[in-house]
Amino acid sequence: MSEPKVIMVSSDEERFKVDQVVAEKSVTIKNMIRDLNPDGLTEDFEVPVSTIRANVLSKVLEWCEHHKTTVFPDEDDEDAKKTAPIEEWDRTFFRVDQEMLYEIILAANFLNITPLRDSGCKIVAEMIRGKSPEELRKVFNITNDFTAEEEAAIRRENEWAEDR
Amino acid sequence: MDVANHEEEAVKTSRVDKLGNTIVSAPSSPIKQRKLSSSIVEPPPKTTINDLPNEVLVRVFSNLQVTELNQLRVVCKRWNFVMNDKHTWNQSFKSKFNTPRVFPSVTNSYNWMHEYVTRTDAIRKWKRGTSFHNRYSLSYSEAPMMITQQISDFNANSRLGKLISYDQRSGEVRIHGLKDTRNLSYLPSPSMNYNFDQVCVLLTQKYLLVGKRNGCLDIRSLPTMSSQQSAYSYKTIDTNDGSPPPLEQVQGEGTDNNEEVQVEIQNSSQVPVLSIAFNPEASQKYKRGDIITGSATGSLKTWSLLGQLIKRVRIQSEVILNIASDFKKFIIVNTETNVYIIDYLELTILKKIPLGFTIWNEYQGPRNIEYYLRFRDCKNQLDVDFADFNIIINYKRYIKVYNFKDLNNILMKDLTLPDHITITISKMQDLTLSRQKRARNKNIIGKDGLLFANLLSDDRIIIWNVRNEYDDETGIIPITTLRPKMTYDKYYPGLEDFIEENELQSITAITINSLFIAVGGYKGVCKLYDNFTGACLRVISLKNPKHFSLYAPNVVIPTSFIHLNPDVRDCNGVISSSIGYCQYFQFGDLTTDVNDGKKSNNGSFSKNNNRLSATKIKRQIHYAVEDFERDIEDERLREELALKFNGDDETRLKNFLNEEGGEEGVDEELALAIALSQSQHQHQLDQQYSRDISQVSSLGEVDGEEENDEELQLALELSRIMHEEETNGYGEV
Repeated sequence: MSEPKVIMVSSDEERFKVDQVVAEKSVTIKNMIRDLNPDGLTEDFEVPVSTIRANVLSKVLEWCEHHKTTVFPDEDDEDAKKTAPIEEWDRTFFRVDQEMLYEIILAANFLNITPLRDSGCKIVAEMIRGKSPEELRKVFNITNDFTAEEEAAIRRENEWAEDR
Repeated sequence: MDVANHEEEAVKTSRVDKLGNTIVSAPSSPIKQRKLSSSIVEPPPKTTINDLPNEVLVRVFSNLQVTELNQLRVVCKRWNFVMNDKHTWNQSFKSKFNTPRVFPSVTNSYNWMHEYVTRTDAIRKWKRGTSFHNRYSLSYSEAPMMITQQISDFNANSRLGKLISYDQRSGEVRIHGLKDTRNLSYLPSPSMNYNFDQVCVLLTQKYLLVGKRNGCLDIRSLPTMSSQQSAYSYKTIDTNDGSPPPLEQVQGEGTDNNEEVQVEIQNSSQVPVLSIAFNPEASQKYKRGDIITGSATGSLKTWSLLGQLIKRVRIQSEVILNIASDFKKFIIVNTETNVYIIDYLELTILKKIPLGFTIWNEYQGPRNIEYYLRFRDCKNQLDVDFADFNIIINYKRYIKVYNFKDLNNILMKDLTLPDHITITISKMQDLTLSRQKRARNKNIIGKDGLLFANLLSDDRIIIWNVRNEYDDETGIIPITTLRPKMTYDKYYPGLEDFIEENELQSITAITINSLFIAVGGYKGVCKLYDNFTGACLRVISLKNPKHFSLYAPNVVIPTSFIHLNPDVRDCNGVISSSIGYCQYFQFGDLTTDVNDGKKSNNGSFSKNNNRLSATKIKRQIHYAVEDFERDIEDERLREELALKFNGDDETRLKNFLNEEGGEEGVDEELALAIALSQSQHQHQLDQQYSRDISQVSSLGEVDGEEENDEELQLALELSRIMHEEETNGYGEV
């Protein structure tokens, strides 16, 4: 008899059948499985993830599948996580359009897949890095909702009062 | 916040119809700016960066440099909001740093992001920064010192720092840089048996003040580091003269402050000076109360630096145990039973607050001098946070905090420990000078908290916030309770049993700054703990040299002083044992060196490593040479001072100096120094640095090893030349 699988159902009703290890990359799902099956899975387990679309979920599961054996630094070891460079595979993985990128981050945040969320955040940070506010508005399609006075006020404030 | 949401919605409705399901396209390079700019032509994506929740945006931003964060605020209201939203940030800080609502800020800025990033970086540096250590001894001979007071200034001397140590037993003061004893200046004891006379000692950055049992106050000007080579002035003034002695101008660079004035406090009977406060900005130019003294019989007097009496007041039949003042508005005094808030200028009592307990010295006899002197060893500790009007009293099992912001409504919070527990050490968080003077600014991040730590007799440490709300019902609630485990068996087998047998405390020193508490124990063991999470971040150990065990084979030497940089962005400090053995430590580069550090990171890893070790070795050789010079110089200085003292004659001193400057002396000294340093090089290189070298050679290729040897040779040569030059240079002076 084959091992029981986890079936994740996306918002558009698509079903993804994955190994338990893969699904348990998500702490949310891991806890859910543990809570509902204290003695371990005996049969396939269906989880509806109604906030995530199929194409996003398939990307997230692709990541989980690839990293199913990867050991990530401790959760509380924030420093190690922050300084670690983005893995080449992850970098290729995140070669998607901005919308997909944010949706992956949102999904990772929802499913509590910390390493995925953090890599995603790093990718976004790289996009921000070294750009002027004008460029940033352009790149991220953000409308400047400040009045000229407000903007000037913030710029002034930015020379923050700092004393040692 | 409303505005931000509104904006998002507007964006969404305008875009919805244009979008189908976005399907993952074949990997191109959407991350690159090139592609992104072209994406503006394409339909705008439905999910935008501003759909990310605040916590996630914070995570994104936290990957950026501080300098970049500033301009993010200007991009849009949402981003500005995220960077400033107190609630989001308090949550983030709580989950990441475990900080309470009120805590001391690292940056003292209004910018949460700035604080977040700086804090993270500082913690990382303290935790994992490349360590640099330097051990040195303050003792001239092999006999250990007995340092009773030690203060530090990390910004002095163009940020090389300054450490001032006072040996009460011998009456000597030593001043030098933090990293080593180079540029050491020395202030010898004014008389034999000086120890016996001292009732209270106040060591400040520029002066040493000693209150004596006969009611005299010695004000000794400390030599500055720059004026090391000029002659000091030592004058013996008859203390029974009555009138303050005239000031004599002293020759020499930077020594115009050097004078010794003895002030007679009490004419009729001899009443010991039990407490002193001193204005750090004291100046001879002004006739104002830069010195405040408190006597055993309740006389409180203010004096100018020249020894003129400015004002006096008498607190009837109470012993003035402690004095603190901001030298602007208030003097805070505590006696055995009361706290007094006194007007600084008028010396009028503004408020009298009963302590609720009596500070008692367990002396049964009459109120004679012995009774008063006993307070020397068993008085309470008084700390005053003038920036937020808090008075902190620590005594035995009591902690009491009074807020006198409104003199008509004094607030109080306290903590009383169980019967069998007492407070052993109390330390207020180190503040940089500018923050000490400035009033509390509640608007900065963390509401400008101020931490206080108490070591208890059961080896627990409690950390609490001085500037918390005053709540009659709850009193002081510790933010963190630590129970540091000092493991000595690794360094000194059997010590733990010894401590237990003798019922000693395994912790001997604590120091707290805005992020960490440093806990020191015996045999130089020192640990750093996070103030808020209580996690042990780093262990530093100071090794005492072997020869000390010859002098005191059965004595375990405690760590007595720990100095941490009050600006936690610079990860350095000094651990010192009472016998004068010190260790400077530094993790990562200092903030001024940040740029240099970054540049060197560009090189390839192994090459970089090699170079680092080579420079390290060079530096250590340099230090070794200088240590030897210093030893010789110290010996000379000691002789010179001894001569000067014994001779009590300035011309003899001058003659002596001239002789020293003569060619013969230099040649001899030089030859000796070179001979010594050569042997020292061999020795030290072989013993201490062979490990470094072997590491280097194992890392690098064969070529690298040769290069290193060459560099070593070069360094040796260089240091010899430097030594020559310096010695000659000194001779000319």
